[in-house]
Amino acid sequence: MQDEKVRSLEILEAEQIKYIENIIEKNYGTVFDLNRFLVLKTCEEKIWIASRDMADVDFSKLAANSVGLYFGKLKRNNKINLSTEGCQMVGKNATKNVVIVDKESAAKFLKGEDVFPTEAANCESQNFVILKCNEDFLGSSLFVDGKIKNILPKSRRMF
Amino acid sequence: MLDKYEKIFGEITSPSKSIWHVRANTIKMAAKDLENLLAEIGTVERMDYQEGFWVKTETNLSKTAEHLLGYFFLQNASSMLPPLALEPKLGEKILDMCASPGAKTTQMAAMMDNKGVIIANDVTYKRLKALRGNLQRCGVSNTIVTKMRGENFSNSGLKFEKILLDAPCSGTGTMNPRILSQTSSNTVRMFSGLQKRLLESAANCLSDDGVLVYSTCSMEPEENEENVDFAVRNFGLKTEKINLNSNKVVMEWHGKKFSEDVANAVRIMPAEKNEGFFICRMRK
Repeated sequence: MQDEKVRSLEILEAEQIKYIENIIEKNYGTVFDLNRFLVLKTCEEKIWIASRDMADVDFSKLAANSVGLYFGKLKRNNKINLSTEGCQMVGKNATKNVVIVDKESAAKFLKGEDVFPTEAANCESQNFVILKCNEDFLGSSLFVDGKIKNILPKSRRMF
Repeated sequence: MLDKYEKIFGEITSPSKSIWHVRANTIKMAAKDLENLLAEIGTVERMDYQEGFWVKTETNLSKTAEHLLGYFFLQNASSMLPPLALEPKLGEKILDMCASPGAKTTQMAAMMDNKGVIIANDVTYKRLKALRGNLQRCGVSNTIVTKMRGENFSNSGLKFEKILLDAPCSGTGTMNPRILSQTSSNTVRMFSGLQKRLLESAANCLSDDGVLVYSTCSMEPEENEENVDFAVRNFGLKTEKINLNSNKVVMEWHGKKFSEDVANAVRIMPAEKNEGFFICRMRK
């Protein structure tokens, strides 16, 4: 018996993938090629990426609980809240909406606290930003009035 | 229990609790970069397996940002060996029948460069939660997580080129005093029966010429050599040599002589830098 979430997964066509790539480009200033993955979407607008080789698997024979890697969630006004892994993939070449934090703020952020960036050039208020500390991409959060409002899931926090 | 093992295998050293066993998650970070990072907080020794490290440090590595960000997996040195014995390749379709918490699944995904497909199966939601969390943390995108009883997996009708059956076991190879004191002959019998059912299911899921790697972290011949003997005799599997430094396996137990095929299996004995493990590679 397949999990309900998996049953609701829709495999996206080229046009739908392009739509998400455009959202990434608009928000993070980089072209991110999603076509190398099988891209799936739940009814809650959550985006999952998976190996293209999965296209040959007969899912009906499996009690599938999840498929691939959670990439991010589409939001209103053509925005996207990337997962930590999504941030790590997109962040490498992102030119917009990347905030820089120091080590101390990075530690606080990973514990779930709101923090202030040391640098926030080219960042839009009320948008999702990628947090970067040195070479590490820590995850995504909301940038509001110069402050990083922490929306890191509890499962990705450090205790 | 320790006395019993020493009678069979000779003197046994328990694994050190002050050494961290770390595997670089090469999906996110090169082994060399991780080595440099770890060297800043402790003494690092690279394992023969180039992506594994022993680290002596006061820092709790499980509570570091680098662990949270998925740069490495904390996994005993012995537990890194079954995926090496299976040799997963890019583009292959692999079943990891008892996958949680995902140490070997994430290792195989890295070896496959996130290509191909791994079906990572386990039996309870609690175990799947841990598995899914680790797959996500490590950036694994070539895995489908399934919740099925391993014994019934063959009912799916799916066939695989390679299968890893890292079977639920008594865990006596860890030399954990609590486990050693709680493991009775009934416990061993219970696991041995379950493992045989899992082996049957795995053998049925294997495509012709497919490879099955069976492993446990148990010291018990009933959970290891006896089960390989069972698989060879009942499912037409042939064992294959594994290129690992190891100790000899048990060829006779409680008056029963095992098939010559069992000699290809390997036993990793518990030592300061590793837990006890049993690994056997079989082909259909």
